[in-house]
Amino acid sequence: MLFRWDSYNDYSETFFAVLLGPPTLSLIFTAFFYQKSVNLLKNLPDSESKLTKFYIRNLQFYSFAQLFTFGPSLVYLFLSLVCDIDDNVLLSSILGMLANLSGFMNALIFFLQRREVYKKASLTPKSASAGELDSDFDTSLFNL
Amino acid sequence: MQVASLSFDEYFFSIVPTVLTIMACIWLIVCYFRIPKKTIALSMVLILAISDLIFAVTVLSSTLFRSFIYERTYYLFFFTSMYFSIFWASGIAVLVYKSLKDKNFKPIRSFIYTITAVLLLAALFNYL
Repeated sequence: MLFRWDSYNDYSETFFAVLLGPPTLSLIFTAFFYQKSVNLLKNLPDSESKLTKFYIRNLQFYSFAQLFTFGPSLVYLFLSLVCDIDDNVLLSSILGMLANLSGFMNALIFFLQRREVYKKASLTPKSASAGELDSDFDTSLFNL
Repeated sequence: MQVASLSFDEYFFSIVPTVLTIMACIWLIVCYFRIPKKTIALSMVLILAISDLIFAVTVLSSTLFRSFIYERTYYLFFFTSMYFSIFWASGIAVLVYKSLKDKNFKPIRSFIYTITAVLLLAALFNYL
């Protein structure tokens, strides 16, 4: 893989502003606030902390799933501008496929976490839809 | 617009995952409206699903109808929904942090502020 220094200079603004900017910025923000949330959780009572941690973990999955699916595609876009990887059709296709699967990944997380909630509350989806889940898991923000 | 003839790679790497995402997003949206008690956490997932749905529909349209790529609306939908999805990851992290930190957390207000900020960021990067 040859590095095109001339192209790098031409596209350096694109690199920072458009291509690598959003996923990097978002990753920094997400990691920063996630770390702060984890620190705050340490001060919560044990009974509340266990359930809250469960929901926070699930919400963070959504964040990282988004970054995992879109981030690599944008990095590839940048690399295709500055390096000779344009011909790598397979890599391009796989990274593109990852971004196309973003919504599917989130639905999968939703499905798995809902199953875990039902298991924890010993409920079936039918009884949960009747409202039992809400009363058992009423933690305002994190209630799913 | 004329439907393009597609190769196996395009079917396998683009059409199949995109259709899967569209179906999954529609399922998530249906789930949201079927659950009796809507919470902010669920709304965050709903917003994500809508954004991913717009992105996937744009990708599918551009794969099936090649001429769509040259239209201005393609760039508007493709990049705005992509940047929004990326920044919404931070939005979720911020809302979780705020809810833990602030005892008088006002979810609706914080939600509206966060979504506005993320939309503005997505529009800004799209403009750049």
